[in-house]
Amino acid sequence: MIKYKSYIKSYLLLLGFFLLYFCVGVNLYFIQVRQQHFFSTLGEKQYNITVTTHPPRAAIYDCKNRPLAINKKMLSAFILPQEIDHPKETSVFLEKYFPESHERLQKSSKSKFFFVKRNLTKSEAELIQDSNLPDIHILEEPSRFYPHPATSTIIGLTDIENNGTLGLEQQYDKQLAGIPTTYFLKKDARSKHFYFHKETTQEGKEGIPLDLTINADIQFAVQEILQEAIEKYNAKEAAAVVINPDNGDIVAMVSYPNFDPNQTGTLSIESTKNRPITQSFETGSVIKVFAALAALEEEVVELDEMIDCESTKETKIDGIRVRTVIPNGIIPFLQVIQDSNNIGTVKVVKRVGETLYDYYQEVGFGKSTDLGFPGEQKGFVNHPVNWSRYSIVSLSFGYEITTTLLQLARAYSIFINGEYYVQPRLLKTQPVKKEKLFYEKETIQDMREILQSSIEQGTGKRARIKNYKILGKTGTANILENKTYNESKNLYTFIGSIEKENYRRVITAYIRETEKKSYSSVVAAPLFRKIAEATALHERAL
Amino acid sequence: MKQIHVIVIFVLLNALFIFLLVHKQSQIIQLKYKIQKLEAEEKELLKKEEHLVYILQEQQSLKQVKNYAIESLNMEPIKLKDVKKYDQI
Repeated sequence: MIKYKSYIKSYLLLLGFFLLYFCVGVNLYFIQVRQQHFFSTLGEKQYNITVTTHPPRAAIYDCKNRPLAINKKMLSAFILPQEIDHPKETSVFLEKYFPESHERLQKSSKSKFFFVKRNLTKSEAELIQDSNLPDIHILEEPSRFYPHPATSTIIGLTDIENNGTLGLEQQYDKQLAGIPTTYFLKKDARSKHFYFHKETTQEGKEGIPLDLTINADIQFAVQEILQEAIEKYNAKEAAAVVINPDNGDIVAMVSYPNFDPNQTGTLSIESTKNRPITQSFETGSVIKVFAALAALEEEVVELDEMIDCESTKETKIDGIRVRTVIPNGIIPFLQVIQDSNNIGTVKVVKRVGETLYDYYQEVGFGKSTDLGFPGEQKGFVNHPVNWSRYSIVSLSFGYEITTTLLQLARAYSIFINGEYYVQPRLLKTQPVKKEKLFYEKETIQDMREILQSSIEQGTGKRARIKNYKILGKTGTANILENKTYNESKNLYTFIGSIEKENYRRVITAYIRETEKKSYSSVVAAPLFRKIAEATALHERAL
Repeated sequence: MKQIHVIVIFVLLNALFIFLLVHKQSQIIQLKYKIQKLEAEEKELLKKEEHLVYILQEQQSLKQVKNYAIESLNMEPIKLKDVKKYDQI
């Protein structure tokens, strides 16, 4: 009997253990077989993550390796709306100090992530830190700093996401940003940072910096000169370009008014224009230089040929009214250009005829400079197919043709280097491109004589610099407004060069709409002189 | 040799191999941890360098330098005509 009872107890104990293990087995079956997919996915999510890291945005340097655009950190404040522990205190704080984001948060309460404000000022960051509110977090984001604001219209800007939106930052956005790297990591589920396996799924690349031909010192000096000129004459705007005529390097390219890229709170579109490239205009008498080039090369005139300028300020040529500022009598062709006489110019250029269009095209007017700069203007030259009987007259002294300052500098370089049409370049990595032009040496020599006499005896006297060879030409053009020329609003241009020994630079500049009507010889020539002095001082003397 | 001795040696050898394997893994993980720590330090230092470059450039603004030179040091901007070149004999 006792043996039977102990036998039953053992049996029941065994049955109990069997049932226990059976339950464990069934549970294991459900977890490992039936719900295998669910748990393995959960496990993978805990252990496996994909991380993408962006390389730092590459810098932009000037010709002397000084940084023009570098990285800096930007602080931003954010909230995780689903995880707010102190909603009342947070709401009161936001309402008081960040009312606009408080309003936005009311509409975004269901979102997982919410920016309170990006690009915090120092005081805002300190305010948030001092508040000790655990629900508002500070995040570091990449941003840009521009040590030389004078280069703003060239370098451009990045937006809040650090993508280029203007200028070279936009044009070379992909190159500067590089390629992000993606990693596949296997992490310990409890650890935030430690991983025990790392695999690169997409190999990234560092951003490539830009090395410009721009000289930051000259850029700054030219900006100050333009600002001074605008204030002196109460003008609307001014711009200037300095290039090396031998290789096309753009040493300075300044636009005024411009903007401070480090303070973009109030930014007007007008101030962001890089006018030397993105603004084309009718230049007036500076075009006479290229019309004279055409006439001399076509051998329709000699430098010393006497031209009858009729000793009047106004005349009619083939029934078309032609006016000039300074009346001249019968003078050599050299003096016609030197004194910028429109009557004499028209009489000679009429001999060139429709071929004038080819010469203007050949020196680059109406053609892109191929810099690829955002917003570049090609300008315009009226094709002979569209000419009226006024066209040859207009084209001879700078109307029915629009050019940019950079195109003028490119074209003028021919007279300085003597034989090449040179491609302007902004980046040192761009190849130097020269195209040989087949003008007669005598033609180039004659042109240099004209440009020199324009400075020594003509309208460019105020551009002279002692001990330096200065060549150049003034130009004053009425501005077109509502399809008519406004004679009280002018654009004053100067194109010229400074030379000494092996050193030479081409400078083109304009100043627009001075308060009182004036002439380029009074306004633009001195502007050129100051820019030329500053350029020679920084490049040659210092 | 008795059979029991063979079994014991076999078990001990296996235990040794297992110990060495675990030790190797832990060394690898330690080194990986060191690498990650150094990578994080490098990242931090690069960030610091970037910040220092920014502060340096901020202080070297040409306008600030010019204003300081003129207003505080009573200096005047140099003119081209003031620069004279002397050829060495």
